[in-house]
Amino acid sequence: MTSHRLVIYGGGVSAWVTAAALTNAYTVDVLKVVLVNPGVNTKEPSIADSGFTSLRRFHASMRISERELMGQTSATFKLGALYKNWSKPGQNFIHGFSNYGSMLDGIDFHQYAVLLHQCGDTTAFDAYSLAAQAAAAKKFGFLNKDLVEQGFNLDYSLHVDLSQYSQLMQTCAVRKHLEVICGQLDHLNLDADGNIKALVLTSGEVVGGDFFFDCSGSDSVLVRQLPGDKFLKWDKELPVNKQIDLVGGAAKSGLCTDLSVCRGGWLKSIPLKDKTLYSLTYNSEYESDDAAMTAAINFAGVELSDAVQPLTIVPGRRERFWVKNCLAIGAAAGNFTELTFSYLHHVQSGVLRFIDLYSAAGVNDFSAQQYNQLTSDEYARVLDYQQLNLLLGAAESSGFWSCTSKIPRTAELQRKLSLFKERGKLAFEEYETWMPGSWVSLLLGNNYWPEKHDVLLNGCNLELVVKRLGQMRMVNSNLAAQLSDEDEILGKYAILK
Amino acid sequence: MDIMSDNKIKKIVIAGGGTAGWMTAAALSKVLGCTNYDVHLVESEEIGTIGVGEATIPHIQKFNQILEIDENEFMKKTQATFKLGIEFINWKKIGQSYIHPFGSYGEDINAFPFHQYWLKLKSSGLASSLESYSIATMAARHKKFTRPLNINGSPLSDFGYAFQFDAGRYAQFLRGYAEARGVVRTEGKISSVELCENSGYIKSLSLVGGAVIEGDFFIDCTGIRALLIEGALKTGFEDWSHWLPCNSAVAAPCEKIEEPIPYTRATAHTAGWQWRIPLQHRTGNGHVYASQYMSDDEATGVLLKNLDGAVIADPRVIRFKTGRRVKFWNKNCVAIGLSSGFLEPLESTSIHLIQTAISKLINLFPSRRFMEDGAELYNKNTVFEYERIRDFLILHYKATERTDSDFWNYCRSMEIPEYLREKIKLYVSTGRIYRENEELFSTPSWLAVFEGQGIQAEEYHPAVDSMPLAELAERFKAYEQVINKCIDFMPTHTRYIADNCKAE
Amino acid sequence: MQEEQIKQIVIIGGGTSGWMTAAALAHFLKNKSYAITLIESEAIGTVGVGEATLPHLRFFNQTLGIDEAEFMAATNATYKMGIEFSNWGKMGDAYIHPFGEYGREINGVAFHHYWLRQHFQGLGKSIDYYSLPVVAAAQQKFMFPMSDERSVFSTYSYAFHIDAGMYASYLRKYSENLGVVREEGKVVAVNQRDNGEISSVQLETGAVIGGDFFIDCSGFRGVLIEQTLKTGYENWSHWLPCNRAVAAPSELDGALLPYTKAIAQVAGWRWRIPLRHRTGNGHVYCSEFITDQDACDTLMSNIDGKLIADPKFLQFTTGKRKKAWNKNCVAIGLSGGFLEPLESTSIYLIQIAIMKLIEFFPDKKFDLAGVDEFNRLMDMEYLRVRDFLILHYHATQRNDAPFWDYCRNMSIPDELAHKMALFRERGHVVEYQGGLFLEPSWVAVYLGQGVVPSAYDPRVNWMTNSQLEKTMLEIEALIDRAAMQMPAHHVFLEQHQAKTNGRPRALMSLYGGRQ
Repeated sequence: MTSHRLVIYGGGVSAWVTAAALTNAYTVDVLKVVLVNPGVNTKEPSIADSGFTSLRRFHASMRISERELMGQTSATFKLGALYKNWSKPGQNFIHGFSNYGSMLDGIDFHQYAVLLHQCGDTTAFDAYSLAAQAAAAKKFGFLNKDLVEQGFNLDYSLHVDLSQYSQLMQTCAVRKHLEVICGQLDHLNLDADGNIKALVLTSGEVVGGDFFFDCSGSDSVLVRQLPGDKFLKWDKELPVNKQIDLVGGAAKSGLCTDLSVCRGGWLKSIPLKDKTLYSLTYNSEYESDDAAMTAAINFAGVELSDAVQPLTIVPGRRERFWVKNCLAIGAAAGNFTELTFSYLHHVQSGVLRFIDLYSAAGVNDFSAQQYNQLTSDEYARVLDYQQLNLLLGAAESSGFWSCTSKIPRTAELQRKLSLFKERGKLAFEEYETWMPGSWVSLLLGNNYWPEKHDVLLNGCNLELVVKRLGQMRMVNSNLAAQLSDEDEILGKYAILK
Repeated sequence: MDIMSDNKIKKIVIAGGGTAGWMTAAALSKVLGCTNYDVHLVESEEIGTIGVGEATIPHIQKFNQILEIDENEFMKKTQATFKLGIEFINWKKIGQSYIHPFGSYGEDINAFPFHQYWLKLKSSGLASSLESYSIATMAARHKKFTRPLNINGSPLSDFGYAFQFDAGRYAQFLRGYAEARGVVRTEGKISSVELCENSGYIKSLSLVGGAVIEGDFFIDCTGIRALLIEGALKTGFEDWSHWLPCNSAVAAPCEKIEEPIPYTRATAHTAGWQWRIPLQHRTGNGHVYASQYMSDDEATGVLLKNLDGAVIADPRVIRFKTGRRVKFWNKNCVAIGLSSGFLEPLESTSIHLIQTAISKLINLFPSRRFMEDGAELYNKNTVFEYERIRDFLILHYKATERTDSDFWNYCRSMEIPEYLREKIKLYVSTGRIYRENEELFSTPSWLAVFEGQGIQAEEYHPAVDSMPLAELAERFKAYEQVINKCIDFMPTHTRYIADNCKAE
Repeated sequence: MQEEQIKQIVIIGGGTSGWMTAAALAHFLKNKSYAITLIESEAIGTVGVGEATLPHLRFFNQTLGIDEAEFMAATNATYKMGIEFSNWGKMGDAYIHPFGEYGREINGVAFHHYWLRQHFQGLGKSIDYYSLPVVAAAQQKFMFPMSDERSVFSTYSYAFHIDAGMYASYLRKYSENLGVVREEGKVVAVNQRDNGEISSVQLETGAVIGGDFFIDCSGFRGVLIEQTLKTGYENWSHWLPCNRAVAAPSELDGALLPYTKAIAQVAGWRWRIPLRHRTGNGHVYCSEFITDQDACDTLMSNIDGKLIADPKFLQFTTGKRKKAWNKNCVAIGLSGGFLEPLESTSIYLIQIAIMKLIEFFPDKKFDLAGVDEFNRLMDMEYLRVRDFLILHYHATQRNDAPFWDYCRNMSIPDELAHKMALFRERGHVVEYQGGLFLEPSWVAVYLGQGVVPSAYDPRVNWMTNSQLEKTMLEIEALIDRAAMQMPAHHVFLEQHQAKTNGRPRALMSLYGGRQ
């Protein structure tokens, strides 16, 4: 068996995660992995991110213990995202990493919530989520087996400091068999077919390889030089173009990322152990840079600093992620504006999909075609989800939010919306990043109610339903109260650093 | 021995069984306790009770709770059905109907009463009928029922209910309850009441056959006869029949209707009105009338013509005089039930008046030393209760467009008490309904009768204009839809009874 | 509002699909004031070929609260752990497509990649030896699987061979107990409303039965969905050219196999389904390549036991109704589409249609989004089963008959071609959630019919050769030992006939609890 040589170009988090995943999956006699670090700031998220619960599976596959990881990346536990005044003023909703209610008589829980809503119920939907209840009470813990067997779940993700996270990934990759070369790209050596033969660095060094990963951030310096590359802009689909990132002090609780609306776009925050990332994403048509800066500073509660400038962002994705023998990962592959805190997830999902399709016989058009197809599908559904967030955010109908209802939607999203509106069912799609329950709770938690309940509920015993739902809420809040205090559990993890 | 126990009343004697007697006995045995007090009840099986099938108002739930009576158990034992309100037919004019529900209309908006907004919307032609916004009314109209449910913000959590039950069985049920807690019942007819010469207090009751029952404190539950409070103590009676001229009733139960409806019906006739109270095993009926406008035979004829099923007992005529005792607590005697006064059962207030009497008596329960110290307060409060109910009843007769009989012509044009006059005036000119203190009937009740009997507000509260009309219309529409949905999901009254409290 | 609620449901046609639908609706809609009427005629026979089932049927029965032991007794059922395909890849070949897994995933990489690595080295045995249901089935053994995921006994599931007619009778009793009304009679006319919806059907007797919602279980004819509503049919016979079948039951003969047999013939294939009281036999063929007589002769000459009934001929066109749900009518069963019973999918497709119908149960407005979603999901199910069936015909090296030459050379759907290419190239099985056959099934048929990848996943190279060899031997030995412990199928059937406990919870999965 011949050993292939894979070359990663980039020095940001996407590069280090790719390197760590590849060196973890393959022994050096199968694949030699080289990373060329240009040593400049990569245009990609670099302060903080949270990812999903899948993040933890990724770490487990790399045999990184959670304690080690949390200690080294200033991490906090994440139970969900808090939508503050998102769909209407005064309404807060926690989109938690746990079930919302449980099935009754074989019918999805949310159908009962719809039914009671139609009867005038004003109970917050997140009263039915253990994760949301725990987050609201600043509690965290791990459910024991008994509870899990009874159908309770409390999943979580982590908020991590991305520069520390990169460092950890680097350590892991180098410990395996990563070779690191420092140097900046001067130009590419392409063969007659347009495949990359080698990276020629400004130092004159030539780094040859069989396959290349473009992890250079939104500059996408490798892939954009390849024949047939195209970037599809989402200027209509995700109409924002600026972002301001600020770092403030530690937040009161680290269990939720926060999202709220503002005139020009949206505000979000990611709480780490020792600091918080505050971010304002906006459309400069609706908000001037100065006004946005003032809003961001007020939001973060920090001093004005000349060092911070609005960044230009270009939402969109590559038409093909895998072009010739080069694969774009992370911001080089696409930019979703991070409305849903999913950067690490996309990086990991990209490299894991590559591994799934990579063959010892090398790569060819079938693999590329399959990769591009699956990733396009995945990205389309992710875009749908982001758009749904924007559609639901109707708190301010002025400024940016006056345009959100006119955003062009895919047929799939339209189908989801109509079917849900009509009868509270979620249309099935094959390649979803968010599970059906996640869509449903996002919709209901943000006041998107179906017009009808499930007809199977006709004639149900309303008294019993009310009792059962009351019990669910009570059990959730009792269970949440029994969990440990967030500070206490974080403290335990800190000691083990 | 300390002073307290020495002065303590030791023996309480209740004269008369029936609903009033046994409710009193049951409550005293539970709250005062029969280890503390000897509670005796004297009744005679020979004397029938008026109890013809009683309709109640939601306050009775409180009574059940204090006595820790299981509601379903009590309903099974008394053939009870649920009650969401009273339907009044032919009161404003013939052919017209409205329901006085146990529950509110709509929900307050910005701390302002719903009906103010409704008045505005109605004047713009955008409102539905008042009853579309009352879940109790809509449920009653659809023969649906559920107990209120704990759903935040839902109309399903916001209505009241009461019961319609067989009063005879209710007395029996309470007798079992009271006797189990130590109340001593003596069978016998009271032949005379002995007073203490000095104090004028009642000393004892003598029964036919010679038995004498002595006591420290006496409760007169002897019904219209008022043997103690009037017969012995000569307390005096205030006559209200110029305002409420009905003075007779003829009652007869008939076979049950297939699906008992969850409300009482009061249908106006030419010289009075007829009640219909559907129970699980039969329907109670009665015709209340003014004998100066209609003969007993004619009244009986009207009753029998207007039954849903075959009559199952001979019609029985009852005479009464509307009014109240001058004092309800006189010396060492309190009158509870019909002995205290009579108000026709148009708004199902009889049992409620018994209940409040018991509760006041327990609160103000005297000692031997200060036997009459609570009497003044007791009497003052009871007068208030009586008069406010009286005025509400008068409204039903006064607010009519009927011109088809002398009876209605009299009612329409009669003078009414000042309080009522002012209340009507305030509503007509401002749409406001003022509730005095703890007056039994609150805003929705007055609103239901005002609107149901043609008294219309000419203005509404100006603060209401702060909400744009379109938004208001939208909110009302949504509320109406929510109510419809709630009704959809309520089980039928029959089904609910079958699932919860079907009599064996 | 409840006035929009459907009150009258009318099912046209009994048989397996009719009574399964009636039973499920009666169960799910009980206490909800629906009236369900099923119209069937004793004069019209049912096709009843769906005698081999998939493990999903257990889930259906479990959902309806049907006791499995009682069900087995009522349908003369035997157990089934898979299907044996003979002579498909080439003459003389045989493999079992098991209801279960091969080996186990190691370090996040599917077992067949490890197997391939050894295979390329000329080592290791046939992949059959690494699957407990295959080894056990081949030895005619059976035992209930276990739910403990650590146990090798959790790596398979099971289904049944049943008498479909008896199943229908059983469900009829079940349905009638729940208030379903059966009307005897043949539908002679169908009445429609102005908007095209069906309003009522008229029977031979003159009786008119009205309804809000109609379910067409009338079989191939599609009395409502096609004859009345003219919904249209998508013909797939260029990919699945068989269009006839001849079936004949015979007396029991030989061993009670815990698997179905599908034996390829010169122009089609033969099934053999062992029940408790008889054996079901049939020959599915393509009339363009063989005459009815020859097809029947082939069947007869291969039946060992005595015939119980005369051979019965059936005709069909493989394909799918353009819309399974059209207006106020849903087609379930053969009226919705026909796919030959090669992978025992007939009852599964009925079941899935019923489950989705319940999920998307309409009101009188028949809102489009729900109807469209139902149709989309059913299309997906049919298409995915279809592609899997095509694979059996297309992945062949047989060149002994014009029929096989046609199948080998025919153009296949793009998606399937793409799937096969990915497997050929690197052993990759395209994953999906919304469909019946997942990785183990595709691996079984690919490898069983000679589609062998040219490379495997390089991640498996973390193991040394000796580690790999040791691991493979361990797995083989584990499965061998496990199969050894299991009782013979016929013994198990006798011993556990009336036993209700010990049966694991059913899942909507073809494979074991571990999947």
